[in-house]
Amino acid sequence: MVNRIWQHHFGQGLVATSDNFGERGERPSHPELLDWLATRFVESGWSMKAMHRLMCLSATYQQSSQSSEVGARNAELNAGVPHSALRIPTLADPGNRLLSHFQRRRLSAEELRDAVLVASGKLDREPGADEGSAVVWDLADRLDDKRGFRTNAMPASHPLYTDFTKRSIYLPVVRNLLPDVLALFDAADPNGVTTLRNDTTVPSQSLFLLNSPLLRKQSLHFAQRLLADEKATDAQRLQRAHELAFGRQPEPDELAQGHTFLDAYFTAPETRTRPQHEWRLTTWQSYCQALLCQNEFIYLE
Amino acid sequence: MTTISVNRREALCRAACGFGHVALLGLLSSQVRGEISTVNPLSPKTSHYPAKAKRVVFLFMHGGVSHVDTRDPKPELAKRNGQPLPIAKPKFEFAQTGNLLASPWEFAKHGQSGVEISELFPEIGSVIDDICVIRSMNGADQVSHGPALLNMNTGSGVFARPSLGAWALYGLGTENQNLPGFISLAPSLYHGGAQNYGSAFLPASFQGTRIGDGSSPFQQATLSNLNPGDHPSLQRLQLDLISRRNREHLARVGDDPRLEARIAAFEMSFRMQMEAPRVMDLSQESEATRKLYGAGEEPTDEYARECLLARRFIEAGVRFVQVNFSFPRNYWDAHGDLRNNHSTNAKKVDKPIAGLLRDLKSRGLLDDTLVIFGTEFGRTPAAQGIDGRDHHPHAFSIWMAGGGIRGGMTYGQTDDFGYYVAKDKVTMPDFHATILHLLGFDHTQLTFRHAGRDHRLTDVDGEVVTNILA
Repeated sequence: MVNRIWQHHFGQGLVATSDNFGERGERPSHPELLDWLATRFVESGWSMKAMHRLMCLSATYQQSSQSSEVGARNAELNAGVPHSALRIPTLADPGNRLLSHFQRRRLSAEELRDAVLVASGKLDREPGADEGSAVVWDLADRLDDKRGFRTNAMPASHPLYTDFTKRSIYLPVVRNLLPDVLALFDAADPNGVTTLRNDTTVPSQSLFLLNSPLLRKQSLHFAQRLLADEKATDAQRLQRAHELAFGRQPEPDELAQGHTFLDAYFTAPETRTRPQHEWRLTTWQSYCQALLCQNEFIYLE
Repeated sequence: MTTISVNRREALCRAACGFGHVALLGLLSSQVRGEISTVNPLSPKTSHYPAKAKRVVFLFMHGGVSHVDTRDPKPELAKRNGQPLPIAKPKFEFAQTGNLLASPWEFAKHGQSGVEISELFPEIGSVIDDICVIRSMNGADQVSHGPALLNMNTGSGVFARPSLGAWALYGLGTENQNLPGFISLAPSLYHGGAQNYGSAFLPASFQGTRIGDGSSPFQQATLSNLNPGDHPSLQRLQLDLISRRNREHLARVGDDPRLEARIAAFEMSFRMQMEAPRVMDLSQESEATRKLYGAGEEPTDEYARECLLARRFIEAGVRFVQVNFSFPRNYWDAHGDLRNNHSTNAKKVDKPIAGLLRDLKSRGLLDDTLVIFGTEFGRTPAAQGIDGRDHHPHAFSIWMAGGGIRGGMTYGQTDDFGYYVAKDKVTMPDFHATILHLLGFDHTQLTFRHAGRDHRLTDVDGEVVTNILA
C-alpha cells in the first residue's frame, strides 16, 4: 500500500514492480524506508491521508527536478565540451532510482484536464458525478426497461466532455469508449487492471491540445479572465498568465516574446477578417492556449 | 538547438530503469549516431524476416455473415430442408434453433479456379482467383457479438488485450509519420467499441484512430481534432511560440527525451492537419475509379467511400486500415428475415470490395497488401424462427487475398450441414498467427512484457496456416 502511494507521488514505487513483490519482481530501492513507511502506515491507523502528508512534506518530495549532476553536465554540453572531455561522462543514476532529484513526470489525463480548468478559472470544485452519469443513462438505448438494461450510446464527441467543469474524477467513464481527453493521455483502460500508466508522446495528443473544443473553450475563458481587468497593461496580463499557468513570474525574454506574439497575432490579416471586438480576445485566447500546450504545463517538475 | 548526446549504454539503462518500452523502441530506432533528435515509437521497424505483406486492409463485416449462404455450399441443406439436424447440436448456442433451413441462394463456380460462391456476391466472385476462402474457421464458444468481436480483433473475448492493428504497429511502426498508423473506419460503438481497435496494455501510441462510427453516415465522418482550431497561419504563429518556449525550457532543464519528443509531436500534428484532409479528399479520384467502387451511387456509396479511403490511406503509408460495415447502420445479424438482410447487405459491399481488389491489383499494391474479409461468426444452418439463422461460431468462413496469400483456392471443410469443422480447422489464434507471419513476424516472438509475463497476440496458441501461403 505505501509503495503504491509512493508511486503515486514520485512516479515510481520504491519497488518498481508495484504489482509484484515476489521472486520475479524488483527489489526495493530503499528497503528500510519501505519498512518504516509500512510501519508508520499501520501506526497511523491505516490512514492514507497521513501517508500523503508524510510523503509530500518530506525533503525528498520537495526537491527540485533539476539534478545538479544533470545540470553540470548540461552546462558543459551547452558550452560545446566534447563528449570525451566531460567531467561527468555518464550519469551515476540515470533512472533516478536513488531520488537525488524530483523525477519529472507528465500529468495524468485527469490531472491535465483539471489543470486546464484551474488555469481558465472554470473548475467547479463541487463534488458529484450525478450530472455526468445522468447524461449517459438518458442517452442509452433502452434494451430492457423492466430489468434496467441499457446499452451505451454515448459518443466520445458528446458535448458533455467539453462542457463538464467538475473535476475529472467525476467524468462518466464509459468502459468501451473513453473521451479523447482520457483516451489520448494514457488513462487506465477501464476494462483491465493497470498498475502503472504509460506515458506516451504522440501527435494525436498535440492535435487535441491544438484543436479540441475543450482546449479552445478553456483558452477563451483563460483569456477572458486576463482581460477582465480593463485597466491592466499587457505586461501585467502576461505576468498574471504565467502565475496562473506556471505559478511563477515570467522571465524578461518571455515577456518580450509574449509582446511580440500578441502584436503579430493582433495585426495578422486573418485576425483582421474577424469582427473587431474579437481581435483582442482571440489574440489572448491563442496566447493562453500556447501556454497550456507548453511542456512546462504538461509536465510536473 | 541543444544537442543532447546519450551513449547507447546510458540509453539502454535509462529505458530499463523507467522510461518504459516505448522510449526504448524510440531510442533504438533513432538513426543518427548517439544523437536523439526525435523519439518516435511509430517509426518504421523491420520484421523478424522478410515479408510479403507490408500493410493490411481488414474488411470487417459486423453481425455474423452466414457461411452456408455465401461461401460454403451445402447441398444437404437443400435436400433436408425442414428436417431436423441428424447429429447433435453444439453444447453452446446463443438461442434455440429449429430444423435445417436451405439457402435461398444458388451457388456457382467462379473464375478459372472454380471456387464456389453464392449469387449474393457476383462481383467478388469475378475476382475469386485472387482470393483464398477459408471455410474452416472456428471461433471456439464465442456465441455473443461482443466477445466474438473482441476475439477476432484482439485475440481474447474475455481479457483486455491489444488489437490486431496495435500489434502490427508495435511490430512494424508506420511509413508516414504525418498520418495515424492504424485507422479504423466506421467501427461500431457497441460490442467492445474502442477496445476492438485499442492498445490495451501496449502504449497508447499504437491504438487505432477512429474515423466515423457505425452510428453515423460515413459521408460525414472526419478525423477527430483534425480541424484546425484556428486559421493555419495563425496556428503557425502559435506553434512557433510553443516550440521556442519548449526549446528554451529544454535547454534549462535538459536531458529528457520525452520533452524533445513532444516538441517533435507538435510539429508532426501540424503536418498531419495538412496531410490528412488531402488524403481523405475523395474528389481527387477519377470518375472511372469512383464508378469502379460504386461511390456516388446507391446502395454502394457508403461502403465504397470507406474502401476508396482505405486505398488512399495505405497508398499514403498507413500500416493498417480496418474497413468496418457495422452496427447499427449495417448489420448481418439475420435472426429473422435472412433473405432480405443478406441480400441488402451484400448489395452494399460486393461491388466496393471487388472494386478495391481490382484497384489494388492495377496499382501493383495487391502483392504486398493483405486484404482480409472477416466476420465474428457464421450463422446456424438450422433455422431460427421461420426464416432466420442464429449465431454460429463453431464453423464459419472468411477470406484473404494479396500480401502473400495464394488465390483461387478454398482451405478447410465443414461437415455436410455446415455445422462443425470437418477438416483443417483454423482457430482465431491460427488466423492471427498467419496474419503476423504474412507481415514477417514469428507470432511467438512478437511479445510485450505486462503483468509479469510476455504477452503476444496469439497468447499461448496458434499455428501458421502454411497451405494458403503463396
